[in-house]
Amino acid sequence: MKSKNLLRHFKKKAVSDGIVRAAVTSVTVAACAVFITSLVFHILMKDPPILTLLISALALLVICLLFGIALSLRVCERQVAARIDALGLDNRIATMVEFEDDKSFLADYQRRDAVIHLRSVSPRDIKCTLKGWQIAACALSVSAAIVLCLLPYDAAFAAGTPITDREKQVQEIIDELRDEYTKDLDDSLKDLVNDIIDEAENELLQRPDSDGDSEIINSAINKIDKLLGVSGGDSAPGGDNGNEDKPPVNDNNNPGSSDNQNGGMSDDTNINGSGTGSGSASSSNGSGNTELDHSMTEPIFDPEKGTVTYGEIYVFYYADYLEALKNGNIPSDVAEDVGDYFNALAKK
Amino acid sequence: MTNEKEIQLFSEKSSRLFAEIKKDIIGQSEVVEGVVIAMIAGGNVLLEGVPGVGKTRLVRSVGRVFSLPFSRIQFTPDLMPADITGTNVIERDASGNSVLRFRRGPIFSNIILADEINRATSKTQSALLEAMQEHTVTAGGDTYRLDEPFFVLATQNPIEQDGTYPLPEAQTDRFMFKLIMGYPSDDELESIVAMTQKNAKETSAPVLDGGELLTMRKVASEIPVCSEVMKYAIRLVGATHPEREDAPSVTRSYIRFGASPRAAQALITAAKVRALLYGRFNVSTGDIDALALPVLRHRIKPSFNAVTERLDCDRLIGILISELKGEKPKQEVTPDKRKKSKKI
Repeated sequence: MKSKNLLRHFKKKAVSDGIVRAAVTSVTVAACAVFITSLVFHILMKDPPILTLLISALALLVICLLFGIALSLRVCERQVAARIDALGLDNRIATMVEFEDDKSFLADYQRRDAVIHLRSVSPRDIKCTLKGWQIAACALSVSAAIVLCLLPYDAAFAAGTPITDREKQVQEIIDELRDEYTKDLDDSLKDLVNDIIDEAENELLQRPDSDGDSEIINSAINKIDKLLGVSGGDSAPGGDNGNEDKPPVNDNNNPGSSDNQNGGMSDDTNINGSGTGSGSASSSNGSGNTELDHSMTEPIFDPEKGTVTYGEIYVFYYADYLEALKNGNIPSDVAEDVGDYFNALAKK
Repeated sequence: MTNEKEIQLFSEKSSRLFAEIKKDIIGQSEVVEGVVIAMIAGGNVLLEGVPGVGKTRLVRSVGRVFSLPFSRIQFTPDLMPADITGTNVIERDASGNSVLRFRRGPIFSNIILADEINRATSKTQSALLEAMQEHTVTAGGDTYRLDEPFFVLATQNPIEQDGTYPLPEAQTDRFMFKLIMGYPSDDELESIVAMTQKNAKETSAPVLDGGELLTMRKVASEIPVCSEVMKYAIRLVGATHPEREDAPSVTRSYIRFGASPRAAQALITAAKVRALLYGRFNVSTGDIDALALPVLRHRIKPSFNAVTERLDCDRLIGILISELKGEKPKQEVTPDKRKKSKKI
């Protein structure tokens, strides 16, 4: 009898064993692929496309399974013989298969001996080649893939530090502020407004909870309103009405003059002494006159940054300048220099 | 072409061989099996053991059961090559003229017992080289063929090394097996003592002659060896070569010189005989494993590291077999472990 027929049942067992192994391996490969792809998405801080991932994984699983089954079906007699010999047949079956066509007396004797010993084993005795670690790897990869797919991306990776609800809340408020106030502004004003918003954002982030948020936000809004109200006074409706409430500007202390820039800002102005509100500001937010704060007329020194801020002063001087320009109180040659000065300040 | 009658002869004679040798030698079953395998396979055997364990008795017993002419050569420091091979002597012929005639030495026999082989000088030991490999003797320009079957069964003592000459590698490589005869167990010793009190004479009877032995050798040579087993034997021999890129770490660390191609030949030839003795008509990897120690132990040269760590050849071969089979050695010895032990 040909060894092919003798080993038929053993081969079936080997093939089925191979298919099981191929299935486990395919699931492991597909799960690993899902895990790696999900991981990449999490690193990129994006939600993994679960459906696409699952479909791709399924396709990969099917391909691997088909490949594994094809390999299992290609198992040859020698491989089957080696597995039967592992049951304690001392290479009898491997020799029988290899010397199948040998006509010598001893080869024939050997074949008969091998057939006798083959009867003592059953296909069920063939050891499963699927190892425990393979099953463990499969279970581990599937679990890891499922966990990573279900895990929200932003909680896992966000440049190394997880985003808290507080940061999210502040970000939403700040985004809203920016959208509302920086729209349709020219670059110089936009920068100033953004500075105010950034400052407010920093203050908000330093707070552990939302208590006192409204004060910071209102303060920022007020500052922005003042800035926008003053700078847009010439065009804002009712801006002209505020002229009388606007702090008086000393013509001699024109901030545009090159020789008394600093002195004009700090000492020679009488903004602080006027005690009147800004008409332009009231026209923009409609809240009426706004008292000019004393501190706004003085340079503000930031000990941490080591800088002096003239932002508030700039706003008021710029309003005065525009008013004076409108009224024709500034000579044209001086007006040009003063304009350049304000532009330079705005850039700062 | 082998036939059923020859196989039956092999089976009957081999079982009777062991039964007869057992009458003279108690215990030492592995050594007896090794000697019989080597004799059927046509190999020479080097027996090593302390004095009094029965080396010479075993060889004499084997000589008797095979019923072959037997010569004993006691190797001594003053023994000369011509004392072994023979020499040309001047004789007068019938007409009264002086002629040179070759007088055959004791090597012209079927079984040679080279007792205490390491006591003779290297020059004398080398007189056996040609006889052991080519089964010929060259003297005075003439080459003489030795009678088949021809075996050299040499003995040596592992202790009392003063005044001895260790066998050169070329010589040891010509021995198919190196068998170690250890002390008998208490039960075996009791039987030995009891037996020698009654009758110290060897009682084994002849079992087979030279012709039958050659038939058994022919039968064994036709045993099929599948490629898996052949490759396994070759991989085992190759694993002893430290210069190979794929050599195991144990080999690189502890072996200076590996086994020669003769080792692979000896492994397969002897494995065929062993398979038949165990009632199989094919060689298995188990046969190779069983014969690895006697075939390889005298063919590999341990390095200085192995000597300092008291790793003998048997243990190294055991580790190599475990590595080839993908098993964890019982007592794993790796260079890393060595370093650790040094630190401690």
